[in-house]
Amino acid sequence: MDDTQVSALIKRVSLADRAAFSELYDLTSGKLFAIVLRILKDTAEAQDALQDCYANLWQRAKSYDETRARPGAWLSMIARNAAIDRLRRRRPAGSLDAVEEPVDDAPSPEASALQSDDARRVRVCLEELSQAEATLLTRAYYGGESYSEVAEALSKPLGTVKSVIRRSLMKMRRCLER
Amino acid sequence: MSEKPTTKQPDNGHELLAAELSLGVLEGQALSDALARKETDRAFAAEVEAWSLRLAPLAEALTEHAPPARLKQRIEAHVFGEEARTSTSEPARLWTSLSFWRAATALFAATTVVAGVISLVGGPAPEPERAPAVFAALQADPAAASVLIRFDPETRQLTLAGPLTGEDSTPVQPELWVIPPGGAPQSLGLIAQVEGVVTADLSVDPDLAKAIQAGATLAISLEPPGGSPTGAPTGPVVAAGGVRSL
Repeated sequence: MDDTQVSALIKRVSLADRAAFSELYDLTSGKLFAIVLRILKDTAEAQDALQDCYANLWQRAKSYDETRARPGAWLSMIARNAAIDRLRRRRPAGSLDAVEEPVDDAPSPEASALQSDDARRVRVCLEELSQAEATLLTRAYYGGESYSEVAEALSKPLGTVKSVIRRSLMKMRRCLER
Repeated sequence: MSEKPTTKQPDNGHELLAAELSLGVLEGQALSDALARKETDRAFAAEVEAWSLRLAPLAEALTEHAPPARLKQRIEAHVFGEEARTSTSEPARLWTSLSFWRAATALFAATTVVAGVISLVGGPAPEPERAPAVFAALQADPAAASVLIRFDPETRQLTLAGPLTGEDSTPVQPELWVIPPGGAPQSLGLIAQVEGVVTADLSVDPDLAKAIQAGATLAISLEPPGGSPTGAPTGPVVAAGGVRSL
């Protein structure tokens, strides 16, 4: 994804340009669908979340500020938030045991090769965490799992999960600020 | 915006809470509290967003997975359809009928039936424990039919519909503004105009939502296609009205 091109498309979308929306969808839907599918683990629900995501994008494009966020990061944030919102709505009625497939938490090597500078920094910081910290943080991040869901899935005490994830977040913050 | 964005660093506890909310690990009461705080505390909301952006490269690193091809059409119909009309359901068709709006405005003129008008256009009455909805009736002149607006502070959904006729020869884009008492107009978004009827179903940003309350004014101006280029109204204001609580 070319940042300049995507930024320009977001700007045109903010002016209600439908052709730009269509082009932006073609360029970004593969990435954003991967994000929502990873969190929701259900194709039908992921499609609904992708719809929420692009509806939000259409509404919020005018609030995008390229000096504060790369377009890819901003779009990924909207997609992940759309999926997490759906997950939260599902949780009260549903259960914690949805799909317990083994999740490969590391992105594939070919994806890693394409990363931007700040993506590389995040990977570096992730590698500085202990194994346990990195495992819990990426599990929560990629699965959209809550503290108790992570604890249950890994048969660890809730208090331990909380303190490990909190510690990993603060370490990430410090590392990324360096 | 009259209030300056705060430059104060949130303390560690707040920053941690923002990180947890962004990550999605909170649940139950802690989640509800954090979500509520995000709606009211701008520094906290900014911190949540900063965390989301900070970790976003992890999400971006996932390998692309193309959605089903037919989904694009569905999404475009949903997104663009929402612009043109509130929905396709039967009551929604009323929204786009000019004669309905003339009748509704006539009813509206008698203040005693305001509640009736609102429950008619606003769907089921809100449950008692919900934050009260607000509404406004925007008029071009006292004799004209009103553009009616209903806003629910809880969901931040704003629905708007009514007659609005502009010069048909020049392409114009009606834009909706909220003007806080003594403040500058802030754009709430562009609204669709089809055959003399405007409709919108907007999701209002939390910051702006706070401005939509009794005492504020809502107004529609006619802007160039794409909306105001400056962020402030540049075209003629064709309808305006005060916000009232229901």
